[in-house]
Amino acid sequence: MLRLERVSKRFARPAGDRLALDSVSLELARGQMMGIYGPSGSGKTTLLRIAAGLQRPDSGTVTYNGQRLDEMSNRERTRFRRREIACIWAEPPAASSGVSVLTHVAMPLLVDRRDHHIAERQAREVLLACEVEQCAAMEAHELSAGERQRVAIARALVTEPRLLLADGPASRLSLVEEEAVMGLLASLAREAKVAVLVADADAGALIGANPVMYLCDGNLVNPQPTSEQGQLYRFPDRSGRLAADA
Amino acid sequence: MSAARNALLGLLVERPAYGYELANRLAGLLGPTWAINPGQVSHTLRALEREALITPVTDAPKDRKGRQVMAITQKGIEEVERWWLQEPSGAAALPRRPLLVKLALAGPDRLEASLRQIEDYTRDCAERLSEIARQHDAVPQGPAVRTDRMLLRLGLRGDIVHLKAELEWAKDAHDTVSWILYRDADWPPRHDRAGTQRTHAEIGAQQRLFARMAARQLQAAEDVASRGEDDAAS
Repeated sequence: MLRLERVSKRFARPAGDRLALDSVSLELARGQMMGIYGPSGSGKTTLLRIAAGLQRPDSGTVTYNGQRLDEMSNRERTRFRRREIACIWAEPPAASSGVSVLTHVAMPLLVDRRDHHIAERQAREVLLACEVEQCAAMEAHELSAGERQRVAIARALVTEPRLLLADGPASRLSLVEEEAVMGLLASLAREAKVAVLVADADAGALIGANPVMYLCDGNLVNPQPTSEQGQLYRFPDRSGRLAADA
Repeated sequence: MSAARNALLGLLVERPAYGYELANRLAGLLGPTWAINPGQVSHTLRALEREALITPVTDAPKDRKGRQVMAITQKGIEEVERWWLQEPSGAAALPRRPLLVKLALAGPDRLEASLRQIEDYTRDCAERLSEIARQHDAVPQGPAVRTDRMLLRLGLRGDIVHLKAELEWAKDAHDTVSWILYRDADWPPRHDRAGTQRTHAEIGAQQRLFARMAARQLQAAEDVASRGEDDAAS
């Protein structure tokens, strides 16, 4: 469903260019929840932004259901994104003060010029599905961290996307909340057949993701032991080389 | 053994007595805090008799209600000795204030009412303090030193210290709740349901949403397949 092939991205810095992604390839099927972990600055967010069509890669291709995302015009890509893709960030953008949670969640539909009543009805149902319907009349500052993240998920789901990209969705939550939020993402993949790509600095937070990949210095590797090789991969060192057990 | 039970047994070491006499002597010795009602006394005495720690004095006259004079047995005397020498005197007990429970659960809507309750509590403490201080001063201080009166005053002074501390705490509580009321402090969210059971409505809403999304995915898969066929045909 989503395919990244040999995607590279370089950022210009005064101290010299930095290679954020180095020929990364991955394939994500519908109903699959893939996890990516790696240290801060390893390229996780860049990878998600490119997969979401928010950034163009320097080289390589991004294909979504057979359509080249990287070849679309900005306008086409924006329209496509609104229809198909939703993102959740570690710190969800807070609703402006004076805006209720219900309106905040209904906003993507209102921007899409849907009828106000239908948008609110849909928003309320998504809030109920995300178990935060009791917060509908509140404002963002009244919510706990866990509720804020569930509201962010509700806002992402209100357009019923086919691809969900989540960058550290549980990184600021307590363990109980982390498990609940990751459980919700896993059931989205399992039951709603959404393709979910979730990244976090901590591999332990990627509950329910399969496969789990390791991203370091722009290189993506699968650290799971593989029967063909009969040995455990070691994580690549900071230079990006992959070392195997002797 | 409870402290009141030990106290009754200890009083019987001095001399045999009726139940109501024991209750009066207890209050006279330890102060009003230790006052126990006649029902409690006779209940405790029956329990002590069952354990053969005390026994009725058969040749002593019964009172108008047919109650008997009770005397301590040898086993009872040994029990008092064991209690005095071996049982710990107990750690300092901290009060569990019902008012604190109310304040903790009041929430933002009951702050004014909380202040009224603290004021009632303060008034009650002050009244009891003046009553106990009056009782303390009323214990006769004759020219001869009587140890029982000294020890009674000691017990009453303990109550006075405690009530003064309660008044200080009530003032602190009043200041704290006033601060919360007038400074618009933050309340932690009470509605957070992380880790709780999902309701039927939530499960239903999630099933409907997920089914719609799954159908949309299926549609997309069919579109991709038909596009592939079209491409192949062309």
